[in-house]
Formats: sequence, C-alpha cells, structure tokens
Amino acid sequence: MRLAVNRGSDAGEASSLAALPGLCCQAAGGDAAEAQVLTAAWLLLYEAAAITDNIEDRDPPADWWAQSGSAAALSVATGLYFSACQALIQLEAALPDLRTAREVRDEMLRRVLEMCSGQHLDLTQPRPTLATYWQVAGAKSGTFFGMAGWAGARLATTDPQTLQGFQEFGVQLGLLIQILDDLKEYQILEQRAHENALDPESLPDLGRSLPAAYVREVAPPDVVARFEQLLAAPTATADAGAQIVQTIERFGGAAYVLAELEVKRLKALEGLESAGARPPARDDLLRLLAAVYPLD
Amino acid sequence: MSLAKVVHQLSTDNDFAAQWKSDPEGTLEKQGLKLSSEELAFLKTGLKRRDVDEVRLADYLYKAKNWQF
Repeated sequence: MRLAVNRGSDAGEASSLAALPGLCCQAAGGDAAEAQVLTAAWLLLYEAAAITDNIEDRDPPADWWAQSGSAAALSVATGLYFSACQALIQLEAALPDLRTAREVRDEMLRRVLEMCSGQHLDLTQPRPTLATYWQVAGAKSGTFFGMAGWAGARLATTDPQTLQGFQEFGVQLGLLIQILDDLKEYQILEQRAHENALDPESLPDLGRSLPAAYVREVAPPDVVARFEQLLAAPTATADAGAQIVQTIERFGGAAYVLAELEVKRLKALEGLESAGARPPARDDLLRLLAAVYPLD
Repeated sequence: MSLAKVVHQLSTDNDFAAQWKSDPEGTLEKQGLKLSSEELAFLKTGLKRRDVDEVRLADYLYKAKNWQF
C-alpha cells in the first residue's frame, strides 16, 4: 500500500494539499504564515517516506533515480528525513512560543514512528485482512494527514476539542485519499489490459487494496482461493482482470467502497464542525476535500 | 467489520435486504451487528439496495483523479 500521496498532473490539487497545515492553523484562529516551517517539515517527511515506500514495495523507480538505483534513492531519502528533523528543530526559532514548537516537534516525530510501524505491518502482510487493511491505512495515510491537521491547529490553540477536530479532518482526508489511490490501481489494470501491455512488472499489486481485503472478509474460502490465484497472476488469461473485478462486484465490493468513501467524507466534515473551523480557511478546507473526493 | 458484512448481505441476501428496507435498526440487532452513526446514516439514505450488478467499481474509478502533491 503506497503512502497515498501520488504523483499526477493536477497542479491545482498539489498546491491545495500542501496548504493543509497552514489552512488548519488559520481555520483554528491562527496566522497561516506561522505554519511555513511546519509545512516544509511535513513536505520533506512526505518526500522521504514516498521514496522509501517506493523502494520497499519494489514499485517501478521514479525517473530521477531509475539510472542511479535504489541505493542512491535511499541515500536521498535519508537526507530528506534529517532535513525534516532539522526543520522541526527550526520551529523553535520560527514560532513565538517555545513550548508550542517543542510539542509540535515531539508529536510529529512520534507520529512518524507510528507511520513506520504501519509500513512494517504493510510489508509483512501482503494479503491483508480487512482489519489489517484499516490498521495499515490508518497508521500510514491517516496518521500523515492527521498529523498535518493537528500540528497546524496546534500553532493556533491548545483546545483539545479543536485539535481533535482538525486531526480527525486530516485522518479522514488521508483515508479517502488512500481508498482512491487503491481504485487507481484497478484503473491501471483496465488501461494495461486495453493497451495489451500486460507485462507483470508493470501491473499494479491489487492484493493490498481495499476491494481485495473486502473479498477476503466476506467471500467463501473457495472463492477467496480462486481470487488470490487471479490476483497473483492478473495476466494469466485475457479475462483475468475482468474476473477480478467481477468477483469484487458480485460480493458487493463496489457498494462497500462507495459506503466507506461516503462515511470518510462525512466524518471529515464532522471533524471540521467539531473543531469550530473558521472561515475563510474553513471554506478552503471544504474545497480541498471536494477536490480530493468530488460530490456527484 | 460490520459495515462490510452489512453491505455484503444487502448486496447478496434478498431476505436481509427486505428486512432492512422496513426496519434497518431491528435488522442489525437481530444479526448482532453494530454500525457507527455515520455508517447507519449513509446506508439508510445513500445506498438503496438495488440489483447486485448495478453498483460497479468502474463507477468510482473516475473519482481517482491524478493529482500531485
């Protein structure tokens, strides 16, 4: 399961997601400008985690390290992790309140460890149950975006309900992004089949996805066994990909994915409500949510 | 994982779906299932049980737009 902040072509959404810590700070009554160093640390952490995630999952390399190899990429990731730590130390100089700077630094580092444990679970459970799926998604994407919500708000307030609300908004946003990232894998499968580009190396690993975990949860053992065979070899036959999707749909998998998407969106909205998020930043956060998961 | 179980039964079990239509809370209680308020709210209003094949994975793939951080 990739840390679900993927690369694509929509620069508009790029800038809006990067603004998450600042918007939460502002919506909590603070000055978004005070969130610049925090945002830098958060983005550095993301870049580092994305590289190590890519290598550990044995995904196709990014263009910039395709030639130099994973060892060089790991070296860059190490540098980025320590750069993030350096930025967190710089919070003490950037913020008017030393206690706030230290709390944010310590809490973010603690949450990075939480993400690491999520990654470890992800690596050791290549065919997760539904419970494990949510544990991994929560520890990785949920924690990463929840961290931005909490830390941004913490620059403005110490009120527990406000902090919990912005954290919840971030967590649910992260889970939404994770589910949608999973769905992209099926889009890639469909596209590859259409192009007849069924090289196993280029195919997504669907086994860790939410629809796959759902089938494991509800389908009878013989169906699950056949499903796992299809997942292991999605190019074995011309219609293997279609059989995978049909199995998911036959057992209500599409409806389940929809239900989870809608519940996450609802919980994100409740988080903002509970936090007492203030306009205009609240409206920007709502737009950010809508950009990630548009309403029909 | 009650939500998964409920959605599965709604999608594949006609009797369960019929009971759900008339009394969602009672149906859950009979099965020993519990949903969060958000899950119950969505299932009661947002997902009416239709034919099994009507809700397709592909319908939601369009929402997985490419985006960049």
